[in-house]
Amino acid sequence: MTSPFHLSLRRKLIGLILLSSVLALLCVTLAAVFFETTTFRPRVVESLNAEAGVLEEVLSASLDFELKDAARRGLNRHCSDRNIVLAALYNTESLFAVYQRTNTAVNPPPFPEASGHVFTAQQLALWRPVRNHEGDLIGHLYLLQDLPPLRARLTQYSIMAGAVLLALAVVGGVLMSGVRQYFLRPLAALVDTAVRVTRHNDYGVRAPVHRDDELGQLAAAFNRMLSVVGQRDAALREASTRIQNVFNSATEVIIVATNPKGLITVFNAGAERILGYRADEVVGRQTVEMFHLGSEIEERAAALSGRLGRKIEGFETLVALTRSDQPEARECTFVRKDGTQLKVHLVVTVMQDEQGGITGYLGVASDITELKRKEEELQRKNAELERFTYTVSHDLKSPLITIKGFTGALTQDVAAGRHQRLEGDLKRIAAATDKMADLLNDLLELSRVGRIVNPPVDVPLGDLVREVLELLDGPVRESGVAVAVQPDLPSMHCDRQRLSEVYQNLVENAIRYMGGQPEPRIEIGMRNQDGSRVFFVRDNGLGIEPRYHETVFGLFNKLDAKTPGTGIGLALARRIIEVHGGKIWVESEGLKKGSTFCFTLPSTPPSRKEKQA
Amino acid sequence: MNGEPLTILLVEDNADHAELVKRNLEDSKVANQLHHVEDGEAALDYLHGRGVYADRARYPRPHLVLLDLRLPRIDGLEVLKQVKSDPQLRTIPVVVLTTSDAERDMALAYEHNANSYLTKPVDFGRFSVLLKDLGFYWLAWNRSPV
Repeated sequence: MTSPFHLSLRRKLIGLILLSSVLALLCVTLAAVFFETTTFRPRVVESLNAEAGVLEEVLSASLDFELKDAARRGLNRHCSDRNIVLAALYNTESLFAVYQRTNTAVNPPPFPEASGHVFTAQQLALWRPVRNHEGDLIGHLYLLQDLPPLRARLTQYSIMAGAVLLALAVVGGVLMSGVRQYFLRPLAALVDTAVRVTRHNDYGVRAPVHRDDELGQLAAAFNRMLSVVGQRDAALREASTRIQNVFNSATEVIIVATNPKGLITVFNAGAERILGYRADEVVGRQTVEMFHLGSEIEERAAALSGRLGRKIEGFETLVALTRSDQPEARECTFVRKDGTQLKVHLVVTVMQDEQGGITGYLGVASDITELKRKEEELQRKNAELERFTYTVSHDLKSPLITIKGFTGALTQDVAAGRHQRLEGDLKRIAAATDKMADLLNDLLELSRVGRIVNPPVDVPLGDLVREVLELLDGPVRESGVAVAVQPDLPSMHCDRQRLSEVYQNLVENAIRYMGGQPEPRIEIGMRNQDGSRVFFVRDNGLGIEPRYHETVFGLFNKLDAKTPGTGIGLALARRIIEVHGGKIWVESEGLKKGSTFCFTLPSTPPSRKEKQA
Repeated sequence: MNGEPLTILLVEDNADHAELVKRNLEDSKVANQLHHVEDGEAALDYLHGRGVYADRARYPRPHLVLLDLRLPRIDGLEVLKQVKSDPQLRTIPVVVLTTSDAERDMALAYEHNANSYLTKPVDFGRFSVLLKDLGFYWLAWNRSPV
């Protein structure tokens, strides 16, 4: 049910006016009743009494002298033109004379009664004692008068009420229009202004101020308030925009603020971009744990519990240090919406109000995945460099020792006149020198692979392999190896010269390590594996035990010291393929099982950056 | 000295270096019998007396192993590791004789219980002195349970 307090002011006013109208009507009714009883009736009685008085004057002589006819005439003469229905004159004992209006069925009472009057619904009966001039009671007069009909009276009253109502309506209407003009309209204007302000956030609108009364003052105060609020709103908006801009311009940094319980309150554009969530998906809905790696939180919870000497878990893990005023800056792993992970450097700070109470936490994290990757790559490169210098120093020193050693031996032998070993020693020295020259050449070649890259072109691999086989025609024929080339090799975008070297090395190796296979065979082809093209050179020769599958690619590593070559071929092949961004590996089940050297070439050719590297 | 020649197992993939070692040890006047193998696998086969080295009369258990680190197939460090973890072989003194003067190699060698670590000198004179001293020290002075 609607409480009257919820009605609009206008309706309340109308209600009030209605109520007062009803009250007024009630008053009119009461007034009518009052008038009826206090004014009308006594007046009728008085008037009839006066009539009776006149009749008494007229009739007392007739009664005194018992002149019935005179009395009747007197009654008739006096009563016929009035409202009197019945007039009866009694002597002290009985009816003396009667006037009866024609068509009247009413008979006079048989005996006189004491003075007084009786109202019936439509008539008034009056008894009056009749006295002579001496004041002796000589008889009674009875008058029965028709009252003006009640309906006539009611009409009278209705007209009265109608008039009152009309007056009320006029007054009410005037009042209402006045109220509307002076109260409701300014109030409605105020309300309208307030609504416009809240709906459109437009603090520029103003309520109309027409007068100096309280409503006018209210409107003016309201307008002043609007202007102050408007200024504050503008300032607030500016500050907020500034902060928002700062947050959102930081697209390279994840900025996330939380309430003290970890519920996200701010999620900037950087966070959206890097983590893949939209701000409206997480703000007010999720806690920051959602993009932390669960296992990391558990690990850290255990570590922190030990360090701080109490049980730490869940969100507290992320802020426990900050809260105990210790620096909280570390590397950790975030999980994106799509489930992928990234390494970040995270700094957590506590946000406090002026009283020092914690209002929340601010986490700023930068994506260091790339940094980490580069760091790892650098470490890998460093390790490679270290291996390289180690290998180089070792392998270059080795022939040097030979040369110096045999030169020394030679000198001694010459001095001692022992000539039988001279020729052999000289040969060793020459061989070691050659070996050193080879090593130096290989090293130069290897360093060139990294530095010098021919512009990549589309190379039909079928043609390339054919050229390589032509180059190796001699060794292939000598060894009697049957070479099969898959006919539909694709074209690849690559450094033609270098890729040719890779195939050369692989085929040469295959021939070199046939291991006495009676039906030596080499197969060159391509297979699709996990959606990428894998190129291979397969032989049915010596094979390589699984434990050497990695070492064969090492610089100057040879499985057999006696085979020719410096042991650079596979190292070179690996370097070329890696510069192309591919991978190279060997598949072999072991000795005598043959080997398959495989490599991939990504569709993107080596970039400029790598060329200069 | 009991006059019986002391056996040395030289594990060296470089034939020239092996020759240099052999000549210098011959000059050292310490009676010895040098067996040369070229890779780690052969070294382990010899030490365990298996395969072609099954005949202990021809290939006796060595009194000293001279071990190069950089070897084809099984490298010197792996050989060292296996020798020193084998209760039958771990008493044999193993002297690492290598071209590498890398700290890491030396540290790793000692970590795997090498008995000595020597770097091959480039200078021939020093090479000779080293091997003569080595011969004297390990074959004449040093005593080891065999």
